Amino acid sequence: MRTLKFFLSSVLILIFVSLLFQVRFSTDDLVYHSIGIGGSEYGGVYSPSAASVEVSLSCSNKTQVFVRDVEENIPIYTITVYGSDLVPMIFPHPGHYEFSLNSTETHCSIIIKPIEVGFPTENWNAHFILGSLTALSLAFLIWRDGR
Amino acid sequence: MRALVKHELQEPTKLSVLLLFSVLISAAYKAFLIGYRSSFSSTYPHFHLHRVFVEMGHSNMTFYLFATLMASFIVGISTRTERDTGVALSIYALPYSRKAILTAKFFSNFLLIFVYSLALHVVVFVLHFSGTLEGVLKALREGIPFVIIFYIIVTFYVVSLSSFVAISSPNTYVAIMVSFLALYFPVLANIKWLMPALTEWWEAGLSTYATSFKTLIFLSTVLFIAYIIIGERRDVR
Repeated sequence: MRTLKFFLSSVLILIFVSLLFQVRFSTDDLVYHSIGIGGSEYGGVYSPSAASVEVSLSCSNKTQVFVRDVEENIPIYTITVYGSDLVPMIFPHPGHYEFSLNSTETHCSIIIKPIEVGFPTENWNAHFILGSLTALSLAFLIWRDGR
Repeated sequence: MRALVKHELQEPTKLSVLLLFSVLISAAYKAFLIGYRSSFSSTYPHFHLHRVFVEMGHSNMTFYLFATLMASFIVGISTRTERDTGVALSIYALPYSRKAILTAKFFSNFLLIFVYSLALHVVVFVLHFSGTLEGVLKALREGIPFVIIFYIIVTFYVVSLSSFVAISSPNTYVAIMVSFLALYFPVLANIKWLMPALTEWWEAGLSTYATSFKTLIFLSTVLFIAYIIIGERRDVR
């Protein structure tokens, strides 16, 4: 029982640490690698948080660029680019985002700049729900031992 | 034997060390997820989240630093302190063989470090990516066998080496310092076969992944046997 109590305390600590990191996370901490894709290639980036970004696309021809949310496996944007373009986008959650083209003849270089970062509501809710459940279980164990 | 393991699992000093280190280890996992940078290109669409899930432990040197330090403390306290304080005379007078007592200590240390590391790893990951539950479930399904194998092997190595050093040392302080040095020096000296980190693991299947640790498994087994032999022969004072 003592081991379980210590374990639950560790999970509580973990939740506090995780929340602390998320609260302190800012735009300055986030840098995306630039991507180069051509023909039938798929290129993408990992985003450690949800973010509002500005995507600079420079392509060799007119093309359509598709953006896919890899984890949810759904297309989130389709953009028609005439040479080059600057497009605002939102990455809705931490994870991977993949870019692809509809033309095998075209090459594109993509630079992503974060404007604003944060974490989705589900993420905060998960922290608070798990934290509450853990705290309640711990309180119950302490109360039961005290009787 | 079960009673011994149960007693060792509830030892408050060891649990307090685990509790304090859970702050550092959680921070190491979270810092990895936030500081992770990756871009990729390929000729077909990929799913990548399970790589992040495995690399959180596998390629996370900050975690390894804290895990080795934590193991040195836990094993040092568990194996040496009772001999330093003289309590060992009472413990070894119990109707259990020395081998059983030493094995129970080893097994309980292994279990505590393994369960704590694995649980913190999974909880930090699930919380961080809780915005995309579908992705999390897929990553867990694909990555969990690798993560479990990684933690079993690394914990076995870390606990074997620390136990061997602790049982051979003159006191707890020396045991903690020497085992931390022995565990972390290969990282500084870049001795790859003594480091748990690998590259290109995702290209290999599960059995290839486990086999890539064979030197570490062999060394850990030798150290475990040496720990039992020395522990049985050495005077408990």
